Parts: sequence; C-alpha cells; structure tokens
Amino acid sequence: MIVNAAGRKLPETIGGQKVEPFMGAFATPPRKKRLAPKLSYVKPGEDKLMSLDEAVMKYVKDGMTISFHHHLRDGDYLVNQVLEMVSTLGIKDVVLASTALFPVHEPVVRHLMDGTVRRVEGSMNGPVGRACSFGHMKEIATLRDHGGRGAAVEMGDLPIDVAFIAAPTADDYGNCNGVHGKSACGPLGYSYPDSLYAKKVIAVTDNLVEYPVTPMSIHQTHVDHVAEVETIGNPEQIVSGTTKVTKSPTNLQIAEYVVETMDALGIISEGASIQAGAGGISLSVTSQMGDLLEDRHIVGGFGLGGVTQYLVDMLHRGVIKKILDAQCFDLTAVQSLRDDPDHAEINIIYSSPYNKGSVYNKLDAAFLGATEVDLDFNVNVNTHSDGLLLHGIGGHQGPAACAKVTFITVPLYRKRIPVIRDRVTTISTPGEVIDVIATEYGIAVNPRRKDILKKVENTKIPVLTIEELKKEAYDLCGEPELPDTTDDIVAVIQWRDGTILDTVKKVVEK
Amino acid sequence: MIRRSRLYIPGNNPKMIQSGKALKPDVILLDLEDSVPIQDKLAARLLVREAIKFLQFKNEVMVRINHFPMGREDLTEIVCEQLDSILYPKTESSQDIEEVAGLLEDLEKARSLSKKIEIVPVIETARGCLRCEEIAFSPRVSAITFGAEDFVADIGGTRTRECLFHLKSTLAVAAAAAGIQALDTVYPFIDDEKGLREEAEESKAMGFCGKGAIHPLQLNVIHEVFSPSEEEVAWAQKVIDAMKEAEEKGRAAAALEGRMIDTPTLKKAHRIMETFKVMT
Repeated sequence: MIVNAAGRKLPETIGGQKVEPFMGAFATPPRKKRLAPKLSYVKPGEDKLMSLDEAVMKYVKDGMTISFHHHLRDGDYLVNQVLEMVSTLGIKDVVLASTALFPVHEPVVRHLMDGTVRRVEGSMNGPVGRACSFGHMKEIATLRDHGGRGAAVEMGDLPIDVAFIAAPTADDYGNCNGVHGKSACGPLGYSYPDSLYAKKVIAVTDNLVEYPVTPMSIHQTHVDHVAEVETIGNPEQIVSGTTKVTKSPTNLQIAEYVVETMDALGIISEGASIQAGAGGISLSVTSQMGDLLEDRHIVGGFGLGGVTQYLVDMLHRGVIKKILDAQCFDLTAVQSLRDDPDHAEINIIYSSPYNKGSVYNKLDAAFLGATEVDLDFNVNVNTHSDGLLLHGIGGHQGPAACAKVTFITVPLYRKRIPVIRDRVTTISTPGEVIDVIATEYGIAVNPRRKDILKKVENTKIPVLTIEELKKEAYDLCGEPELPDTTDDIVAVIQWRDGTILDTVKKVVEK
Repeated sequence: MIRRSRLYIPGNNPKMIQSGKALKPDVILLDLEDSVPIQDKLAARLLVREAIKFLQFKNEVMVRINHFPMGREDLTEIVCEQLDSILYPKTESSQDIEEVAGLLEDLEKARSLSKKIEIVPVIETARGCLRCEEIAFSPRVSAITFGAEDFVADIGGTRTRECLFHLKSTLAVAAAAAGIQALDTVYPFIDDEKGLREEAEESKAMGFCGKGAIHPLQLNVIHEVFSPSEEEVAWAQKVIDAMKEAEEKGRAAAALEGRMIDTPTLKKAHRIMETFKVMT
C-alpha cells in the first residue's frame, strides 16, 4: 500500500495501472510532452458533411474512447443518440469520456449493463454515478476536474479516438460556436482539447449555416466531419442544478459570512477577481459582493465561471470589468456571451495545471461548495455520506489550488447528517488548498493561513476552530454512520496533475 | 436586555427552530399561539420545551404562549432555566398579568429555578389599549408590545398609520413611564425592505426600541434601524463627558455644541451607550 500526501492509503496498482500517488498540490511537475495526433488533410472540393450514423459506423470500433462535452448539461441529447447507435451496431467496450454526465444520461446505465460501455472517464452526476457505486461498471472509472481533464487529453493520459462535439451552430467545414442557433448553450470550451487531440473529430449540429461561422469556438482546421441532426438538445435544461440566489436564512447567513470575511481580508477592492459558481450560496455571495462593490463605487476585475445571470448583472452594472466564461449556467449568460464583447469565452486548457499560466492563478477568491468537509479541511464534492458517487469534481480543484483565498460554503449539517466531520468519505480536494470553511454558525480558518486568522480575529465574524464546528454538528445530529462499502474500488479521484488523490469504494446494494 | 429584534419561529417546526440557533436576532421567539394549529399544540409544547433545553440558544429565549386557559398548559410544559421571557397575547388588564405571574411564581419555585421569567404583554384590543398604563406597571413586565392585525380588527379599522397611531403612542408613553421597553409589532411584507425600514424608523422616533421579525431576511434592516449609529454614539459620549464635567463644577446642566443639555439628555445618552455596549 502507498499513503499519499493527503493521507489516503492506495494500492500499488489500480486496474492494472501503476498508481502515481498525490504528492501535494504543486509537488508534481509536468513529466510528459503533448500528444501529437497524426496530421491529416482535406483536399479542395472534398465534402466534410456526413450523417451521424455514417460517422459512427465508419469510425467507432470496439474498445475505442469516444468523447462529448457537457455544455448542454441536463439538456444534452447527443450522448444518448450516439450510444444508441453504437449499441445497435453491436460495438462493445467503449470508454465514454464525456466531460460530465447528468440525469438525462440515465440510458448510459443500460449501456454499462449490456457491455457497450466498459467505463466512464469523466464527471458523473446522478444515475450513472450511482450505477458505478454499485459496481455496475466493468472497469474502474476516473474522475478529474475540468482543468485536469484538459491536461489529461493534452498529455495523452486520456487518448480520444473519436470526439463528438455537439455544436449549436456549425458550417459545412467544421467551424462551430455555441452562441447561435436554437440550442445555443454558450461556450464550447470543454471540447476544445478534444478537437485538438482526438484522432477523429465529428461536429454534430442542428443549425448548419453558410460558411464561415463566426465566432469560431471550434475550428475547421481540427474537424474531420460535420453531421447534421434534427436536434442536439434542449437548452432550457442547461439550467440544471441551483441557479437562483438562496432564500434559505441559514444559507444567506453563510453567504454573509463569506462576504464579511472577504471584506475583512481586503478582497473587495479595485480589480479583485473571483470564481463564481452556481449553487444558491455562491450566487448569493456573488450578488451581495456586487451590491457592496456598487455601494462603495469600486470596480472589480474579472469574474470567472460557471456564468449565471448574477455575474452578468455585475458586468452590466459596471462593478466588474470582464467575464471569462468556461460554461454558461443559464440563458441570460448565453445571450451576454453572444452580445457583450467584455464577456469572453475561454477554453478549458486555460484551467489546466500544465500550461504557461492557468487562469485560476489570477483569482483573488473562489467560493465553492462541498458535500463534506473534515478536520484536515479536506473537501468531498463527489460522494454523499452513504458512499454513493453522485457528483463530478467539476471546476473545484483548480480554483481551490490557485485562488489567493478559497472558501468552502457549507451548512453545518444536511438532512440531520453532519457535513463537518472527522473524515470525509472521499477526498476531492485536499485540505492544504482550502483556506476558510464558512457555515451558518461561523467560519473556520485553516491554521496554515495565520495571515487570514489575524485579519478576522477582531471582527464581528464568529471565528471557530474546525473542531468546534464539528462538535456543534455532532452535538446537534449525532455521530454520522460510515457508508456500507466493500474494499472494491469503483472509481479513482485524480488530482488536477493526474496523480491519485483518493478512491471510491463499491457501495453495498440494499 | 437588548431587544432590537425578536424573530418569530413556529413552535411546531423543528427545522426552523434548529436553524434559529445559527441566526442572529436578539430574541428567539418560539411561537405556540397563532402559527401552531390546534391539533399540533401539544406536540409543539413538547418540542419547544426540548428545543430550549437542548439547543442552548445564545440569544434571549422568549415563548409566545396562548392566552389562558390554554396558556396554563403551555407554561406548565415550558418553564425551565433556559426560558427567559414569555410573550402573553391579548392582554387586557393587570389581572391578566397577575394570573400569569402567579403561575410563573409557582412553577419557578417548584422547579427551583434561579431566575424570574419576564413577561411581555401584547396589546391587541381596544380594551387593552385603554389599560396600557396598568399593564405596563404590572409585576415581571419588562417590555410591552402590540398586535396590529388583531387590534385593527377589534376596533373595526384597517391597518394604516392613522389607525395604529394612538395605540403606538399610548403604549410608548406607558412603557416610558413604567421604565420598560416599548417593542414594535411585525411588518408583514417580507420582500418590502423599504416599507419595513420606514415603519421601523417611525416607531423608533416614537420611542420604540425594537421590532418583531417574521423572517430572518428582516433582521438586518431592523438591527440597522434600532442600533445606535456611529454619530449617535459619538454624540452620546460627548453628552456624558460634558455632563460629568458640569457635575464636577456643581452644575446640573451644560452646553454642548451651542445647545443646553441636562438630565433628560443624559438619560438618552446613557440609553444609547448601553445599547451600543451590548451590541459590541
């Protein structure tokens, strides 16, 4: 067994692969070169248009890795369409490398059972993750954060045979964007590395328009074929998850403590830049911060997202200067990306740890959620306390690692189960990069951050130790039960540099 | 006791009661009266009793009981060391208070409590309004408040400033005379921050020192209005200093910024500083 830097015991090999243990947030430098896919060419007069059936028949074979993006989130139709074709053709054992799967992708569970899909490499939100937890996946799944996935594709750790890119608008030569068309979903940046490094790239659109499409999020120089389908998804469903400011008094209290702490730390200042996520508490922080900036006639820097109407509102009120958009969480954000030159699309390589400057390095603050937090400040965003793998890592690790101050916003307990506990079920982000835990009962500052502790000690903000928060949670709810799991590993959690942070164990099905 | 805000929480809702512990009203007000349907009264009493014993609120714990005779059963269940005060609805006379105080006395003695639980009467009828003075001077009464909806219904009016003005004024004067707090009623529109602020500011100007909240979202505005501002604190300190200097010179009055100040001004200044000290 190996013990990694987060204190987790790992076997020497997992799924036949030698384990590279997590050594520390920035302890593992790049050790590979970029993947170099074969060059190809298209002669003048050659047609790139091809039906989706034809593309699947021609390019997808047994055992291949096929990829998709999740910009349409719970409104995506393409994963299910392609897998249905793959299954009908009798193709077996594909690796599904969708950047994230949602409840709409429940049919994937059937394809896990019938042998069409042997494993998933990507975030699993909902039923597919549940199936993985119960051991219904032939091989061990791999979860990475967004930037880590980008790096894995670049390095060849996640080699993609065929990338299917759902494109709300495309021309017949493969230039694509996500801001026009009936299925407009915003940026297409999650697919960008796939477009660069996959062996074959198929753009799939329900809005084929005259050449050339502008703006170009995905470029013709990387696309092999364009397939036209009736519909790629339902953009109304990109509003999945919580995308409204919380009305819960306790969650509002948490948001208030975050804003007060940011203020005490001097973050609410000229040029300050933030990572704003979805989720009621994060949105409330965004909204309250916007009001404070406006009241004080201060203009922040950029907002990075996960973009919602609240961040767009900050831009349009003039309290931040720019939005850098990796993902739209609602249609207001999509419209703003289309119309406002200060709202710019970025691709996911901006989030990679291995490039010449991650966008996260420029963040002053990030406020992120969690399902659990432990006494070492380790954060779980993947599993619930019953052990079920129900969420992806999303964009959690990168901002946490790089922002000057990282807040985790959590209630002390949910459904009478403590969120703050002795030990998290799964480490998704290590405690060494987490600075402040904000709960409705007050904040706990990571003892590593003596600078923060000093600045909040004489404020009105209730500052407790993480042990005190845990005690309060246990006093109210009792000690939480451990999940009923076996020793079988069903998924690995990679840190953004590709090392192994933790494993997810098989849950006993009752 | 500082009572800028008192947050009403239904006594039959365990989730809200538990959440109340993380919130910051000056007074946690657990309700056994109007927000609890008749079939839930018994369960609510038991829940409130266990909650105040177990949760160890840091705020003042007040319970709104039902009017007697049902209120007797409420008190019998809930009186304990952790209970600070009770809100007594539809108070119409000092006899009402004496009855409540008598039962409290018995229960406190029987349970060997180390404290005296305070009573905050609620004036909700024309009859109660006419007897504000005797109610304010009753034993254990440390504050007095009113219920606007019941009052306007009782007198056949509608909830307007004019309709409530006499009651509020009478109540504030009675409270001042008795040396207790006058507490404003709740503002029923959760999303109307402007209306809440206006009503609270008017009440503060009339002599009230706190207001009820039906939702935690109302707390910040209420606290802002009923907390002394930096300017008020600075002014109060100057008054105290000036009067101290005057006293040392054997004078009963002093001049501050071109204006005469004396004992009533000093009293006001002390009240501001006391609130400020408790807040900080």
